[in-house]
Amino acid sequence: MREITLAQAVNEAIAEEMRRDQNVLLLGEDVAEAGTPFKVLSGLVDEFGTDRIIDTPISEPGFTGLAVGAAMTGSRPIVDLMFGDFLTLVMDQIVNQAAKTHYMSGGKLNVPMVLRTNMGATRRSAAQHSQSLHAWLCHIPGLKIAMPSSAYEAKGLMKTAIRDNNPVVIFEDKLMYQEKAPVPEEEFLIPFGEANIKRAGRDISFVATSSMVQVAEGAAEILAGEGIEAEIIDPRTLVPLDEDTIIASVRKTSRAIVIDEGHQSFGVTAEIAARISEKAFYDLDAPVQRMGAMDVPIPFSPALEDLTVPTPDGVAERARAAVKGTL
Amino acid sequence: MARASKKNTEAYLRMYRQMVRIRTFEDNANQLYLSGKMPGLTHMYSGEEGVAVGICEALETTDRITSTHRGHGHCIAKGAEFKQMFCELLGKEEGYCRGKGGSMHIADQDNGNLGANAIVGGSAGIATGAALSAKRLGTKAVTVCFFGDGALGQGLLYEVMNMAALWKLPVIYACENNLYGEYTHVSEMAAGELTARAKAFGIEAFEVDGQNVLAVNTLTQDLVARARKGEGPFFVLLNTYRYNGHHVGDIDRAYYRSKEEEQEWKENRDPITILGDFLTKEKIASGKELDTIRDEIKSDVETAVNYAIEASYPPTSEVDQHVYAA
Amino acid sequence: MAHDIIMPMLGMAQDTGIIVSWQKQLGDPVKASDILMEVETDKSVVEVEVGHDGFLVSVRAETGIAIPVGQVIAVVSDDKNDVEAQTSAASSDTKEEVKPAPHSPAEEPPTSTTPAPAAVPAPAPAVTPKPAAPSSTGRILASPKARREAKERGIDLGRLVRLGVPQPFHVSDLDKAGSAAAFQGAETSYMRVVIEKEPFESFCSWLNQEADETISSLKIWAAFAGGSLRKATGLGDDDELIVHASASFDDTETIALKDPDQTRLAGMASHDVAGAAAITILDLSQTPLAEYRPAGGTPLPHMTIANSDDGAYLSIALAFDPATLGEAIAFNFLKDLAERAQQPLRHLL
Repeated sequence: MREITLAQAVNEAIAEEMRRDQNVLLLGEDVAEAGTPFKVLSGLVDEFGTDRIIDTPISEPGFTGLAVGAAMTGSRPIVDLMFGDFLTLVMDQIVNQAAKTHYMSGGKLNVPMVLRTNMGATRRSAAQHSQSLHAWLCHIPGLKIAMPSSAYEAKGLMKTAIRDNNPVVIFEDKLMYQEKAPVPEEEFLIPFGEANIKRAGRDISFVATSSMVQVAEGAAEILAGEGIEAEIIDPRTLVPLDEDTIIASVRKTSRAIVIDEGHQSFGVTAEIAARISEKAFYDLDAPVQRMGAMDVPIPFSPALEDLTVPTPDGVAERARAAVKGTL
Repeated sequence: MARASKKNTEAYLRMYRQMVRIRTFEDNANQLYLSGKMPGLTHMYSGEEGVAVGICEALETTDRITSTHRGHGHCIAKGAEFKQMFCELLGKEEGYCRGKGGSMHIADQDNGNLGANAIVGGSAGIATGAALSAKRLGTKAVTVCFFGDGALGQGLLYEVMNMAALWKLPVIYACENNLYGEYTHVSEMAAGELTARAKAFGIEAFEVDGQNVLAVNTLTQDLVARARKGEGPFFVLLNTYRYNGHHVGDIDRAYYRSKEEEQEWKENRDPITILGDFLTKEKIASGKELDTIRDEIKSDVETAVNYAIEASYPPTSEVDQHVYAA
Repeated sequence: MAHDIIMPMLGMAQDTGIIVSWQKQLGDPVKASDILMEVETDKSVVEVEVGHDGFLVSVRAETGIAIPVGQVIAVVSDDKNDVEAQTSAASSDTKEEVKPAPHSPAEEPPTSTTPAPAAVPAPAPAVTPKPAAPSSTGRILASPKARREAKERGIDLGRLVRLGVPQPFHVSDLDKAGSAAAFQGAETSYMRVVIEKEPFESFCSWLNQEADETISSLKIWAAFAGGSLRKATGLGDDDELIVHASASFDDTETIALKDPDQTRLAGMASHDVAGAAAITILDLSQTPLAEYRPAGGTPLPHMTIANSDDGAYLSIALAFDPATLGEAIAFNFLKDLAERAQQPLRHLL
């Protein structure tokens, strides 16, 4: 199977959907000629023109609000939010407008839009360009949240998102754009609410999102050399969340570590860990562990930044303790 | 004032009816609140009828509006029915939003009302986006974005006006300047010239007496026609006044508005009276005919109120429905 | 400066090790490269070095039991006077010798009816041993899965406590509890010792003459058994030891005695004694029965006294749960009891 980068996968997904449905359009900063600073959208404006690939001023609330209105009136906009940190700017339009319109109108108005943004630290981009804020939006009823962990997921989830009649927010890990993975040429969609078991194991379950899936895989390799078999679950979408797959895994292994790049406290890991504790309680042989980014603003210095996120060694160490029963 | 042709006569009478409908609706809604029958809060439009009616009468059903927290007037002016509106205000199943939106989020999609918005200026993006859709879909639909003088403080408004101007979107920004943002006078909240804001983006800006419904309507017809041709966006500043408080519970207002000022507007600048006087003077309708119109509407409204009070709430199973669209 | 010596991890995914033998004794001078002990893992027996120069000032683990990796098992110090008092778990002579009781030439060696593999650990718990009752007092920390499986498998977590397994318990600890609950009866062990009847009977008569009251032989047996049990299990003098005794199968005639080995035989009253018995005695010597084996559900350990085949001897049989009491302790108990019964006056002294 051919291998393409995550950037190429996103580009393909958007292009295919824009060919399929004339109502799909994309707006954001430097999306047309420049194809965004990450060059993910290069070439789209050549095929679809500036009517459908629209460069906006630096007005995040403005163009996000525009997208909400356009979605309510027949368009299917994709908003490109250059950095996930800028969610702070668009919160009213996403939370108060997009998420609630269908409900507040008694089901009569739809907002079929996609907000495409990123997350992930260790790029030396410092505190205001390195955050992973997806937990905030998982908390809002009416939104769907997708977290691709490789080029394959990026393509399949983006296509599903564009066809979904609800506001969907997709978080791509900005450090993964050049990473390749096998992606079929034939059309495929990844349904929301279906987790992927990336690796089977019997001793401990790792539930990991986005690039933390790779961290989990690294840890699993280390542990395999010590006779500990880790199972890795990639939820792929946090809302809706495939609880059943996660619970079944933990029932089998009796131990779990949830790994996510949001901050350690009050985040995605807490939610998933709580659900595991609720539904697999009598099968747990070790307390459920959460591993997130340190509760500090992301530091700039390379000596410090890498300390703040989970690593394969860190995950392996925690897993060992879980298996040994010393937690 | 334009010459009273037959076509105009019908239009004028329609406008009169619509304004009376709004006024009567609001009086009843106010009563529902004061008598403890309406949950939550609502915001009265009484006194501003000329703005909503003047503008909406220049629009087709397929044109769109976005509204504000003070949205009953826009909703009625754009074609909504009393029954479903009262049901919505009381949270009943037959409301426009199945009781799930309430006064501040009332929407009437079939008539092109994309919804009231509880966030000040919150619908500016939505209106501009609707105009974007209209342009690229080639529907020729025009969108009117209603907002108050208070929303001139919101950054979002300027962001979307900037984009609307850059992309020549068919949207009319209608600023209803009722002189007060909640409890503060506009002169204390908005610096400089109000219309200069739009002009800064190269948007043509107009100012009109909001209490003169015919003037509002004439101007709007002109701008809508131009917007359909792609000459938009436009900005209109409509000077008007709200008789009631900011919300239905804002009864002791003397500390920020004098009773004299309120009286002055009610007695000398009432849009319904002004149009009524015009109609009788031009012999388009007699005083008695206008009375009849008012009585009919009063009766219609009362029927609708009673209906809504008796109507049932949505079933409890609906509480977690409509979170997501299929 | 003192160094803790821990049970090392000697294999991949190894949780525990069993000390086969100590190669150094308490107080010995040691060098880092000396062999301190032999440890058995699931794969083999490994010689473990001391790791530090100095003196072996503390030995904290018994041979023959599974000790969790990481647990402190000994201490080496520069200062030889650092010797610590031993806990009841430690012992300096690990090789128990069986000495025959002196006055019974026809004594049969103690019999055991369960197969006793050499590797079965003889638990000498570090904590005060409690009788094989279903629950222990106090909270036990265990994972939800361990609790659930323990319940399903009929394993008493209290047994793990008595075995000295560190808490919180996990599923892998349940295997240390050995077979299913003692109450099942399926895994009960038996040991029997035979003694001459005469010394005991003479003693009883003499005691009754000396005292102003009737002292039943039941009470005397309880006192002897209590003392032997206290010694064999390593219970402290301050620890409570309750004995139930009866001469018939009628429950209403059972007497309950607290610390009968520490109470004057004369005037020993069986007042309201609550609590589970550390041992139950059934004295059938006044009946024609020669043997009785308790059924499943009978509290263990259970001791039956009966007339031996030709009437001049008494047979003392002990039914016990090897996982709770252990063969070594059972053996020591019977040995000591036999000695007391053969030389009763020693008990008084």
